[in-house]
Amino acid sequence: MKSKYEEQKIMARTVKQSATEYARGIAGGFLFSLPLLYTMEVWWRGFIAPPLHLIGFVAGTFVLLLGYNRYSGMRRDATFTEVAIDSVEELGIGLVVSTIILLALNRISSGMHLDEILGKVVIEAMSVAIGVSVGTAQLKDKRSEKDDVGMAGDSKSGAQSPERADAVKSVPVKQMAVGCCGAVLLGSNIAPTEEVVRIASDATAFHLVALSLMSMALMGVIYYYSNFRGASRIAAPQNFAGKLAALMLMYCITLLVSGALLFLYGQFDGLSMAACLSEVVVLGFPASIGTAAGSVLL
Amino acid sequence: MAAGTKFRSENKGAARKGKASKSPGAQKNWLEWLVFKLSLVLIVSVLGYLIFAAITEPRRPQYGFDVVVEPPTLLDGKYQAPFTVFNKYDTIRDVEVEIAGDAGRSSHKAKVTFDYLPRHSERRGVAVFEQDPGRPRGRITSFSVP
Repeated sequence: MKSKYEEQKIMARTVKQSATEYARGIAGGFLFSLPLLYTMEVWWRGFIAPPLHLIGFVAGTFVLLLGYNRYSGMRRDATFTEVAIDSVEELGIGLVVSTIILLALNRISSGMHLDEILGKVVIEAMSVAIGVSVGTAQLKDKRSEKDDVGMAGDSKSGAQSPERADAVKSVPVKQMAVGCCGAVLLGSNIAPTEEVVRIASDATAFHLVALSLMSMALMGVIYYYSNFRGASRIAAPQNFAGKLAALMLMYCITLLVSGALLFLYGQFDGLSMAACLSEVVVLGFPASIGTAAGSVLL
Repeated sequence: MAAGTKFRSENKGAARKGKASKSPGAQKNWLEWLVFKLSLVLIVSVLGYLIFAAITEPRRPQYGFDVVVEPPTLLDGKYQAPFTVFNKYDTIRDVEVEIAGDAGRSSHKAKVTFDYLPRHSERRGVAVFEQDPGRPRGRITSFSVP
């Protein structure tokens, strides 16, 4: 009898634990995506975007979630299947949460066509899903970490575990994957706005060069010279040339993420190649801060 | 062949043991499975619909708008005629709608502009007339080309 009781107790605790995790994830989803849920351009993009772009949003987000959950999520020691299951859950929660908020904000209602409703929900859900993922892993009370079971890879406890040595080898990939999440989290707040187009169309070559140099300098400061929380986890090359090469690599990734975001938010529509590039560099500035801070903090 | 048979028999053994098998979700509780299954259904339905829309989109005929005007009612001393405009195009349009009374006088006209009328979606408006417009009709006076 006692053992059965204990079994039930363990089960109940586990369910409670996962409920707590979901609650934290949902809170994170709100925290990181509310600016987007309150942005007109994002709703518009929801019903302007062709279905293929929306599929691109879902696929891109899923890849980001897989990367984040693998390298920085709650269960980094998990198998690929478990990481995929977590990512599916986060996407699903993202869809439900964004539907509820859009209903509460009266951005979707019964009179609208399914295309319009679905477009808005899908676009908003993607940032909510990333917020859920980051929230689940990051917003956790550090003091309660010891009590948890099956999360040996969690950021702090993992640093002391023997698995850490293994993880160090994969730091560059981790840095890139988590950096991409940071770039998307920060960049997607700015990518859909009219301001990006405006700044990019007014910018001269001089402004763009200055912006890209500033982007790399800020990344360098965050990675190597500011004693940022978690910066010590980043593999820092010893010499200046190595640091510069690492910065340029991360900046290239940032520009790719910026380009993908701008494309999916339709900011390239009808523009020349030069104007598109200009937009990429303009968005690259905030996104590079997201990349650097993301790969250090998240 | 022998190896295959052995593999099959092992599989049967594992199936008989059932709960003892170490599947990736062995530590998952019912709540997590529920959330996962609901999420999976949701994502598959959304993606299924989007893929269906992407495949069928170019084949859908692209034409015009529908403007439906309801009979006017007297409210606050003005004749108010609610109307609905529906965008049948596959792309978003800005559209200007004119609602005119059937008496033909210029005062019996109301104009409304709708910015960003999404594809296959409708917006509602109300045309206000000083005098009884009779049976008002709606038409599109201009729209944007994306």
